[in-house]
Amino acid sequence: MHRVAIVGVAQTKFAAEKIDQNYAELAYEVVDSLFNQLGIGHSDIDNIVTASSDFWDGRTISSMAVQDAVGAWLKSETKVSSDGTLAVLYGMMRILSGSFGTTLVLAHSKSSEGNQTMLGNAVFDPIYQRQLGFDLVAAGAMQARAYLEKYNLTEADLAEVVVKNLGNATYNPNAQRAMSITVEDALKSNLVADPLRELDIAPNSDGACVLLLAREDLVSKFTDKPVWLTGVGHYQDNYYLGDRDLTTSKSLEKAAAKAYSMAGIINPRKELNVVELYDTFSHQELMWSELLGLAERGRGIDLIRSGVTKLGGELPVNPSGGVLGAHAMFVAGLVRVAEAALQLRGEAGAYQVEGASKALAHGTVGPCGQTHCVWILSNEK
Amino acid sequence: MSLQPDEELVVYKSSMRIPYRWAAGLIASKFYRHIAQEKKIYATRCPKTQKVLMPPRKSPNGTEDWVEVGPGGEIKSFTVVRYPVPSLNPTTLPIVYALIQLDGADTAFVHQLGEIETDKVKTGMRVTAVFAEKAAGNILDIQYFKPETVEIV
Repeated sequence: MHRVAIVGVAQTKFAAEKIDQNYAELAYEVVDSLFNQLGIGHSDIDNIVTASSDFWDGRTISSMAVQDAVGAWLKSETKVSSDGTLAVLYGMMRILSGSFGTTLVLAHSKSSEGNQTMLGNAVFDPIYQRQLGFDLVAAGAMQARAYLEKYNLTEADLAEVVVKNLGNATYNPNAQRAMSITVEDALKSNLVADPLRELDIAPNSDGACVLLLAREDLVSKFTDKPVWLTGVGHYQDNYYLGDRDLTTSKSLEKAAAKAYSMAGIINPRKELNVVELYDTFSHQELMWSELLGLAERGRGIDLIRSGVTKLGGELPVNPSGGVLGAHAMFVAGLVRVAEAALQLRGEAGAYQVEGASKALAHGTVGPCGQTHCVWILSNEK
Repeated sequence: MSLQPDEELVVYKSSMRIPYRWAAGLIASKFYRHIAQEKKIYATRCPKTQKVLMPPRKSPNGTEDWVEVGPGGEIKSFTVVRYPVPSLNPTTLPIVYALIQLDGADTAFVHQLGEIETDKVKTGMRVTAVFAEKAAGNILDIQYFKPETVEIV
């Protein structure tokens, strides 16, 4: 089977409201940046996979809004109405099918344009749930409480995640929310949905991100610093929240196991050098770290307390600031892959993890982490 | 291209109000009929795992085994929401949402609490269903769950 590598990445700065750009212009900014970076053009792109949502964009077939901007004219473009990590999976599969040599993978989203509470409510089915008016934040809060109570953790433990990630974000010029604060400061932020406070919840962001994937025989045409996709796992869990044990995630455990086995990773805590994971809420960094096998169940907090996952630690988690630093829905997972790739290329600037050669990037979508996609990336073939 | 000081950016403000008619299906229709006619909550037992699923689900070849659950149950987790929720739900803020596992059911489901002070809610608390006076065929036919009171005989 052919190998596939990421040969270029570009992203926008993330902001609460980018009213100087429409969707197409947002996408065009990153595609133009990628093309200039690689010295390539329209003819070098064999096919395109985009990630966006009709509901979030307020139009049907949301990818139509960006087709000119991504250079889809007289090419095959297809869309994932889900997180960007799944668009990477789709893009890789299109190369492995033998039909294409390169795939441009782009995600775009503007949280500023639609009412996020109503959109987060529309995630739930109209027959048994929607009328209650609850949304993704309320669902995440119920998960946070269940997790904290099960393992005797506190809101101060969540605040430690906030302090680390918003602190990391101060080194990331693309982050929207970056703060040098203490646990006490974080605990003073407004209670939004107990036990979650404003700073425990990812901000709503506008932005876009793009990657170029290439088959191994074409890689050298684009870069001398390819980042290889060496493992991936993608699983779904139950839709109804009450059908799941919200303090764990079978789909993430399975996705991690699959990705590790494909990449030949036996001890992720020792073998990985950097992790970028999709934590819409502070408690999810702890949960996802545990389920990725980096800590015992309920002990994800020890990774932060001991400094293992801080910038400069043994295994930095979310050195970019993660999703708490910027959260453009559906784009945020693609940004995790892009940030992991930048780390492996030694191009992560002030938050570079020295000598990183193996990275994990994680994406999730659906209430309380219904779907998970885990990627293992390496700068060695 | 950049803006001159006297130039403004255009933001087109609009909304989409699209009427829908979502078919609930045979199973959910029966669930709502039980509530409207008897003020009783029914779930279905999975013929394979024997688990009682709430909300009820379809089974192969119409083999649904309907089981009455509740009206009492236990709070598995909850949150107090302090921001405005969509007007689909007319309840005033703050709203307490909870994952409730009804007696006789093996899964929990999301609903809201009423007749309780927000700082008195605890995981593990017993609650019971309060039915709406007039059923409309949606989940607010159970108006909310209130703390269960122990009757002393």
